[in-house]
Amino acid sequence: MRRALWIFAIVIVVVFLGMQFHQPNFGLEPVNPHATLEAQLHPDAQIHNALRRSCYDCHSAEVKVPWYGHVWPASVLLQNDIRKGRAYLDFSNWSNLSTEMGQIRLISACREMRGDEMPLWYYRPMHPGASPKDEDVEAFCSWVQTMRLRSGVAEVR
Amino acid sequence: MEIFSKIVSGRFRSQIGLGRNFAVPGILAASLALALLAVSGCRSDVEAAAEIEPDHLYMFAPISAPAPAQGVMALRVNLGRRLYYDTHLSENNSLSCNSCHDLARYGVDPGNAVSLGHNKNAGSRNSPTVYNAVLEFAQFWDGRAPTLAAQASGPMMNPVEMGMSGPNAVIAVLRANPSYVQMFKKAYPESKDPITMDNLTDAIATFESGLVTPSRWDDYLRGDTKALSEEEKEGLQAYLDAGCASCHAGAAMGGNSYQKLGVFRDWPDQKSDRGRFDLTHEQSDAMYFKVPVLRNIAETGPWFQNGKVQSLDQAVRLMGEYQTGQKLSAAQVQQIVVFLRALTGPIPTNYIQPPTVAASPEAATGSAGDTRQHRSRPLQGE
Repeated sequence: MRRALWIFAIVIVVVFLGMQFHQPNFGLEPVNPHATLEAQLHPDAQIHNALRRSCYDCHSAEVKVPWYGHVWPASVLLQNDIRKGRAYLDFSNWSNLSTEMGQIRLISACREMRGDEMPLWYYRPMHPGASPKDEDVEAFCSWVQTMRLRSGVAEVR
Repeated sequence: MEIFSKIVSGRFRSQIGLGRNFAVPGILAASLALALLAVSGCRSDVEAAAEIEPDHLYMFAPISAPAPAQGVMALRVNLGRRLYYDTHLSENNSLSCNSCHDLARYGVDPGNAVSLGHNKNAGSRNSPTVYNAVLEFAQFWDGRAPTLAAQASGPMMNPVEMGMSGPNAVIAVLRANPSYVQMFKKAYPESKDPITMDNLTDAIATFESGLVTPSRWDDYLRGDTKALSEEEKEGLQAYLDAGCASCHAGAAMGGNSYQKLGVFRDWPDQKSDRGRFDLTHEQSDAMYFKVPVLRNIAETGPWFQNGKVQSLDQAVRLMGEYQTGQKLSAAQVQQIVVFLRALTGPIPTNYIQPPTVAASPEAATGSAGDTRQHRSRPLQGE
């Protein structure tokens, strides 16, 4: 019985070490400074800083990958989260969106933060202080609303 | 049992303190919650049957049939329509815009993955629909033309498409035709020399701006909850749940962003077409394409940039797998396809009526056809 446990433990360790050869591909390309949300929409410092602090670790090409992000299985989770996060919202490639789609994504971001859906719950304990403050969320949402009125994208509700 | 209902309703986080500032005890609670989620089944099962709240459809926008163009704009619509159908704008008089963007067939080249040019050479990408193209923020699969007018001259002078040797050849054809001279003069009275490439592409673009196809979907978005059947509403819910709306949203259900083909898995073909990379040569543009419009999508196959996808079901499955990272079940695919079919609007048959005798002098007076014109780009891109 004891021997079986030992073999089991060794197998686990070998698999764990073996899987480290699988290197994640986060797909983080160099940032084009003209393509970013900042360059395109010029948010003020409060919003800019809040977005960087709370969102950029999944929604930009400027992800700060923690040390465990290179260790399997965390690496796989991280890789998928970054890919998924950037497919939904990518502050580094804002120029890929029309005015209409940019507005839609910002409205979604506002709604998700107001609903406390974002940042994801399992991201928060690893990144204390990353959650946006209520006043930051409200500043962001009213910025989005002002831009929406100014851009004349009236039909997007 | 109470904790179960809280978990499936998705409200448990704030209630058990996993809000903004939860820390280590939160992890324990979260793992417990995860385990419970696993045994209690999927959350969407609980929510599926309910009516979709209008507030949840904020990412869409209804469109309307364009009002008829007036005055000089009506003359431009008529001129543009005639040019659209005119084969004289191609080498050997073999092709018109309509040859590959057939207005009677939802503006595509039905059944052909790619279209054949004047000398029967195949193009490299599937002919996209011209319907609702006015709602898009850029034209072509890679968005290389910012406007419909900028797009219009491309195929005319493309050696594998209509194959005209250059602008002068096109203009010479038009100048040789007295009724065109008349039409251009009347449609562009402020131009000293009205037959120019700019006026020609403007006329075609003005005509194309009227090719907008509202459908029952628009009635639904305006609040008519009966406009979609129960099956279509279930399909809409499946569409939202699968995450389709994160890219196929807005007035045209797409056509308003560039996205990478192959987000969760690399697209199998990374060589023959790399999308915007082939245009910009920026690594960050590799495999990026303009998100296609989903209005009339059921009628605009074959699908994808190379036209190699033969069924809408398969197109939905591939999108699920590569773009959203999930294997959609057969039932989900079916539901989504039922919804997509509801996005088909009627073809504006009067508006697309080809000029009966292309060279007739009556055409020059601007009396031909319906002249509706889309309101001046309400959802303009950058």
